[in-house]
Amino acid sequence: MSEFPKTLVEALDNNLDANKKITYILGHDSEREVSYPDLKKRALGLLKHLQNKGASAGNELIINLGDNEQFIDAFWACQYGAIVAVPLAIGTSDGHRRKVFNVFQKLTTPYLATTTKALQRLKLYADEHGEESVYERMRERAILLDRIESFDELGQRADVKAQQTAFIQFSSGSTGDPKGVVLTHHNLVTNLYGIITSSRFDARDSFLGWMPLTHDLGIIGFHLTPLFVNIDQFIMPTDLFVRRPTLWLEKTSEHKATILCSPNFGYKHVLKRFKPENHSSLDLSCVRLIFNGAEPISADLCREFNAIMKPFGLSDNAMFTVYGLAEACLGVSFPKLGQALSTLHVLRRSLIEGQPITIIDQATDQSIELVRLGQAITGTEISIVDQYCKPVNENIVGRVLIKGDNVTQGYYQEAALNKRLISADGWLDTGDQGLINEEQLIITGRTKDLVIVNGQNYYAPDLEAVCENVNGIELGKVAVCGIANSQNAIDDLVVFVLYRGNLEGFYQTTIDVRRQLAEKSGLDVDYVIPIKTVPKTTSGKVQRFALTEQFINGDFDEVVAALTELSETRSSNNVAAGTPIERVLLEICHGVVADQKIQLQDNIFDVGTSSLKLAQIHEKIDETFPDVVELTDFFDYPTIEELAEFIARKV
Amino acid sequence: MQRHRDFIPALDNNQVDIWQLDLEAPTEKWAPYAAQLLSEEDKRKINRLIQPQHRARAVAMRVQLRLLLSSYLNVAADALRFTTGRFGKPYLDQSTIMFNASHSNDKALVAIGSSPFIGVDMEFWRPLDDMPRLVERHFTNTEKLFWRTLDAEQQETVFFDLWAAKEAFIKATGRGLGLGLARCGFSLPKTNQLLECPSEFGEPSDWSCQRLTLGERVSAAVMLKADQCRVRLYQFEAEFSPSQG
Repeated sequence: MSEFPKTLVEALDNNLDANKKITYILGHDSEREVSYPDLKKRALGLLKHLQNKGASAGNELIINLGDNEQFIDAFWACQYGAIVAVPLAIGTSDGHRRKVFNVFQKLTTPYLATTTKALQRLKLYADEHGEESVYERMRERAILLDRIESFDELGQRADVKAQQTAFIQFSSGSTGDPKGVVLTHHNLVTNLYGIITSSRFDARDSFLGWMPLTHDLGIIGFHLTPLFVNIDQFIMPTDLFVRRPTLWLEKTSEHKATILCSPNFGYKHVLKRFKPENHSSLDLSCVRLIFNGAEPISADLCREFNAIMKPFGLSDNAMFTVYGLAEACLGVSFPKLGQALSTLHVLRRSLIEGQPITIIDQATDQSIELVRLGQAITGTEISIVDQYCKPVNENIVGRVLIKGDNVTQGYYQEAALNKRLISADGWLDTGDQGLINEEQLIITGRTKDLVIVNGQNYYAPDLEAVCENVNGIELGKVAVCGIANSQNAIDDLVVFVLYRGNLEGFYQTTIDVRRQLAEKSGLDVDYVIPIKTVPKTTSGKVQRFALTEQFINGDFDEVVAALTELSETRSSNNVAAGTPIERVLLEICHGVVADQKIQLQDNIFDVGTSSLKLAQIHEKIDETFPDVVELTDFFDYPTIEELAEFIARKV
Repeated sequence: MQRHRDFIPALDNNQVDIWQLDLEAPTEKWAPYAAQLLSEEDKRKINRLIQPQHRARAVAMRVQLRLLLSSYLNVAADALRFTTGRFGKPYLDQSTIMFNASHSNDKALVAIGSSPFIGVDMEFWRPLDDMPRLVERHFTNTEKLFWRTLDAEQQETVFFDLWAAKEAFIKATGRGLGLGLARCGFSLPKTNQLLECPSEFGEPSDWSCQRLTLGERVSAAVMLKADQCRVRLYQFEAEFSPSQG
């Protein structure tokens, strides 16, 4: 790598070897290959169609495509035409479609790359929400990839400069006013250089990823990175991973992939389904690194994953616990190569901003295990500061700031926000809280109103706005917090609601809130808690931090226990696990078949032993999700898990 | 009704033996058999039940079924092997006799015959808040029209009579619910004749239905693919000691 490319297009231009390729994994026995030189041709071919629509350099293209191959083609068509790519997840909820409308209206000269079917769904949304005129503009500027028959005619290449915007990464989970991280070629190239040199990627490596391409870990980490190294990459659709998590490992073994990644929840998801006896030929000895980031990391889960995969040849040192964020393009800090999982136990109550932590030798019920995340990668600086923005010493908790050529200049058209988050001398406030210990970064929590669920960021105020649609919840009388769960290092999604009546009366609200967030944002709420007052700052801002502290202190344990008991008596033996749809299905099954313990993987035919019971279960499902499930669908989706997935795809 | 099974006459093609099983026996009665006779899969299913009472019934059901079948085949109860058809209907592995079972509350029925196309169902009447919707979805048009003309009390009778017949039929075919309950219709108000069924299961007239009178507020029916269906009704009482099983 003597001459590192200065732009994305330069990198793809350099990849002339037709043997180096992207493999799109479509299923167990179905894959498609596109070499890098072919990708370039297809991108230029698609660019022609964009330009025919009128798109030109400096315009934006919203990429709203579920198919990875189409997504990548559209992404590179943008790069060659100097059109700003704006990836948005296709999703199934109304929230996803609302975001397309919000972003479309926010952009200056937007075009839309999508499919006939997705466009139809946008039309349905528009009809329901009075957005017909916006939709009309959208339709006029839509390029439907399923309608394109030929890439033969090539588009006009633009002169791409390093300081131009390559793409805008919109905050992943945001449901209200989405914020877009603007990334230039120079930002990206700087970060890619840091990532590649710090991990020493070379011709012996190959990448296999399943993260969505709308996420920085997907598009930058597992598409652009291998492309810049000019090595093979395998891309698996996220929903395929969700359905068949073990296929990720099977494919890794089959293709001898060396570099993998997954946020914390992914390991849990794999372990839930992985049965060692079914994978006797699995060989993970080729795996050099598994990037573990985008979510708080559970050391226990890392150890469990390592232990279970060790017989299959996975190296103990493969787990690569990293830190990064979209504002940095992707990567901020990596451990040293070959470093084993490195952690420390800290007293939870010592995690106070500006205070030194208390490190203890062994875990107690008062402690939390934190994972060391390595050092700043080439091109990036990290600083931990106190509330006066003064750098603090080692082992003192502060706000995590980053700086570097990889760091965004700011959010798209958010001057006020940018001023608040980025200092005059270029330090960006990540919103994370952390410290340096043994020269390594450790993240302890969050300061900004951000909730992370399954690696996706959600802004608390957006989620609160969703909750305010629930009957009985008034404006400003709800607070949504992501609270680190010390047991598995996943943020619990906790909704606090102002309520002064008795608990029995509150029970319905807990159901409504769960349902509302599930339907509108696809989120699974862990706790809904009544509070007597909503703590606010003098300027009227909700103090989520205060509630979080009370929650961690156990102030709500009693009310949580009471509510749990209440819900257990209401729906006997309701298993508090699974997605919102799974929970609804469980509740239905328990309602009809009151005498059995029913779990997600149980066969519905085992549960409802008579046709009448099954028919009753079906009838109740039909009431909740009208015209989605036929009784005979039980045969194709015989477990609650499968049925829920089937329903999720349809609603 | 005979109260004992010390002598079982041979079965012909039109013959079905129906055995009534009592599931409410004290737990201790079946516990010794359970350890010896039940498969791991049986135990797994039983352990899913929350209430001890339901677990006890499930044990009683499975143990008695084995004892009963073993007396027909003259093999040890723990040597019986079960298998399931493509759509989940249980069969005895490598056997000439065919069976089908149904249970409701503390009672069970086991139908035994020589044809694989045998099905039995028993439904204790109980309040069903979604009865009209179940009728709409799973009854034939003729059945729906007829049912709607009935008063509430008759509606309950006809609903459970019809449901038991329909279920006995889909169990007899081995196809189960996938067959579509709305595609099999019965005579009314006496639900003892199949009038409509999907053609892959032959003509409706190929089938015989026999309603079983078991008591108050319970409907039961047996279906057999045969010219007629003669039923012998027995009460099962096991008198083995575990060591003999």
